Amino acid sequence: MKTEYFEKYLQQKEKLPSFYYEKIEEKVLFYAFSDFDHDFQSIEKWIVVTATRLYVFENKLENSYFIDDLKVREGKGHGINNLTLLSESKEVLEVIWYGQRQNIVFAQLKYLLEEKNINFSKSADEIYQEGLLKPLLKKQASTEVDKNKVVWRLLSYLGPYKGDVIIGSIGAVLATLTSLVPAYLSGKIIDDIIQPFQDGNLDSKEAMSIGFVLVATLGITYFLREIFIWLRLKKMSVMGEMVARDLRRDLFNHIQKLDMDFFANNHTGSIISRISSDTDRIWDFVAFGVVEVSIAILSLVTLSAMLIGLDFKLGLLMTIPVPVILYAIYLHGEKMKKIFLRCWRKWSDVTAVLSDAIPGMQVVKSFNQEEREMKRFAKRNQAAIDVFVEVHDSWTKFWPILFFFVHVIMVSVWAFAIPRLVATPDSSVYISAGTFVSFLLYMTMFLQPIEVIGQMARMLNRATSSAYRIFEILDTKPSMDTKSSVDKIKLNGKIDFADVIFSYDGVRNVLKGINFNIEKGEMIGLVGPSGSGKSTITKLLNRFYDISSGSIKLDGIDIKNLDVGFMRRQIAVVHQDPYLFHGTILDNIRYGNENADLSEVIKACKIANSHEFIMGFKDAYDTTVGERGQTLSGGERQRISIARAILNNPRILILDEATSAVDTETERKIQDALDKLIEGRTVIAIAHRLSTLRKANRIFVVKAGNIEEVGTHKELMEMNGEYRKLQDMQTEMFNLMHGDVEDPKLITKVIEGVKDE
Amino acid sequence: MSKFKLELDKKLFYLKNKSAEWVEVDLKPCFPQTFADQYYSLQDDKGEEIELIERIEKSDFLDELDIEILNEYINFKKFTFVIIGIYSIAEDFGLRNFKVKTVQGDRSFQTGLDVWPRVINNGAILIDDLYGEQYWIHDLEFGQDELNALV
Repeated sequence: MKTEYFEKYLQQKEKLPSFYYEKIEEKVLFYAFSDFDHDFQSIEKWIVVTATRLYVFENKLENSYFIDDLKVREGKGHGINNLTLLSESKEVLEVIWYGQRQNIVFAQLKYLLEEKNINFSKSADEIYQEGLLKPLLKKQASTEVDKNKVVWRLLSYLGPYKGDVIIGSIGAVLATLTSLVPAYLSGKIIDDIIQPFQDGNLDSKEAMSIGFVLVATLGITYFLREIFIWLRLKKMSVMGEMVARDLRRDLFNHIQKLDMDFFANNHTGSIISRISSDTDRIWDFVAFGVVEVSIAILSLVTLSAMLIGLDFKLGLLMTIPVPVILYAIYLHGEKMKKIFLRCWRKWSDVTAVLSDAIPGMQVVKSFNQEEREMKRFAKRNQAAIDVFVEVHDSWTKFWPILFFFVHVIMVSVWAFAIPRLVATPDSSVYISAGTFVSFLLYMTMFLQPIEVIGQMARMLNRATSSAYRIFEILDTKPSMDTKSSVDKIKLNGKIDFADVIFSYDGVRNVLKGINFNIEKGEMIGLVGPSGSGKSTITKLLNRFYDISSGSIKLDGIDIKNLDVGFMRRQIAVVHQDPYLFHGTILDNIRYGNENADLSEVIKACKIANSHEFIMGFKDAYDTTVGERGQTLSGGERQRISIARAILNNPRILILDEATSAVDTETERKIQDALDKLIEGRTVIAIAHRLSTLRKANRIFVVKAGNIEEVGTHKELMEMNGEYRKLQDMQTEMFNLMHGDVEDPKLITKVIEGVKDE
Repeated sequence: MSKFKLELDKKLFYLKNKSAEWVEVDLKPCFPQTFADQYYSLQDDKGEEIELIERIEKSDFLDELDIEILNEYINFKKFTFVIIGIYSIAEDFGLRNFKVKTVQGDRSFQTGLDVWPRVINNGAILIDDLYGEQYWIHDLEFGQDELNALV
């Protein structure tokens, strides 16, 4: 599989060529591939690392350096990057150029050379291959790459409905077989009744009696046929809906188990469309596709046999062009596939405007840009329609041409048949009128399966592309290994971070070796500039992501060993902009504790200072808050989220900028609610406004992924470091806002300070 | 003497305020895709803007030697692949595989199925691949039909 990826997609070697292994006597621990030179032309250069040395091979010529003597620096371009090897005195020894697809491997090389850390748990081949294939494999999460396998997998969803499939299929086969009877009987009526009667070989009474039997048989046949068709339609259509339901359920359930990483890498719209539209697009294929195609093929075979059986020469004339017709249908399908691709692309342009403009309607209106949005939408809508018209142009041209060709064959059949129909019965070419009527009727029936196969080709393409998208999610494995996460421990709230390194993208370390211990019941403030890693620390504590190295322990137990759900229920997070679900206030407060007593709900709301405003609403606790709680103000949403947290009775509480987005009065109320909430719990509070951390036992100053300072407010102020800088800046800003400062230089200084932050 | 110097690995240094010390700087285009030759921000290693340059060739801030150095730096910074022919665009499971001829030679790259080529306001087409590489199309020697199916 890996070889295929390297050959087909990356077009570079899947591992270090054996030549280099022979050349290097030491064990190869790591290697990277440099694909460009300084003129940005493609080259092949290998960088190989052993326990002591780094080798650079180009055209089998080598340079080597002692790792301990090397320093590195990297340069980032838009398309090309470089890693420069420097001597101890910072003299440039070698510049290695590489494209973006080598990024992950080179980031590891840089880390290795900076930290002089060459203890890898994986082999050099594994590190190199994983680094290169990661983005590809992330996109191709599924192992099912074969179209046939996808179809079979899709059909496996019919398993629970075997009985219905069997009944429906039997109905379909019997309907097809009974469809053949009327044409045969029609010929019989002409040849065995009408013709002999007209020739005087059959008397009226006998003709009528045989005629009634045949007509009754015809009637019964049609009746049975409709019964079989009803059976097929009823069983199969309901079953199609059932399969779509099962797929939707499996998808939604699976998504609940996926990590935050998955949601960060997939658009919400795309996930929603897979659960809704894609599952919907496969139901007709599941319901009718396979059976219809099977029946169509069965019909073509039986009709061909009937035609050849009735008249060998005319039968061949009719059946020999069938493969040509089917091939034409295939070619048309391929052409349509390309047009459909463009439809999809244009349609995504249309929906992009919708998903842009509708949530941003307030901005659209406030800038008076309705006209602009209408024009933007109209332009894309028209572009989509242009392609849809192309679709209709294509099929409306194709099918008449195809059917004209089929009708030419039919006319040819007539042309060949007429001389034979008027020949005498003793002639070797003679064909009876009845046989020819049967032939004609079978010939007419011949068109339907061809049409069905044509439609099914399109249905199959649609269904498999949707199935790919569905299975892609179903096959996405949570990136966190939770096999050992079984301990259901009631937490006390002691937290230990030891040498925690973490990166979201596997390249840039957001946390660079964080160490701290928090005692049970302690309140810790996290301060520092945006992007310094404060929120990341809290996300790792919740195990939304797994750390790259180091350990995080709760009550002395590695969180990797704790049952994730059980652990998270004991950690509550109050965000700056809390998320409320569409539903009532009561539903939202009881979200984490569905069975909470109503008295507990009210008690929690009183503590959270939210009872009063809730009771101000006409429907009080039964008030519907709207999508994302949009009918409430920011402060109200915040206090409801605090009540939700209180009701959950967490052991650890994370306050992530909980009061930064509200006015002073609301902040006072929220702060008051929070003060009650934090009692007896371990608290980590992230805040930009240092005044909100007045109750913190200790404050950690986080900067660029490291904890720079730790101490109480007083200790940190005495340190005269980053914290002092932040505090002074905020004090000055406060004074500035309250008109206590008149010195313009100070104003500039404060603004510069804010920019720094 | 120029107030800029460019090292072998295209690190750009600037003699800030005529001090004796060279400071590492970056010259970032403000509109790298739409108006790539207009407006550059010269920034120090902390991301602080030293100078906003409207057009390199016409800037009063720069002399001839500066312009030469900065152009060489920009050539490195803005390097992206330019497609001159398309052999094939095939849909594969979960991704779209492009086999193309670029100025640098034949190359293949992949995008997600829901990532489409973008038509930039100057009419050029830009494709971002899974690895963050960018591919521009201005004029094609061949493969226009393949491209038309996507754009």
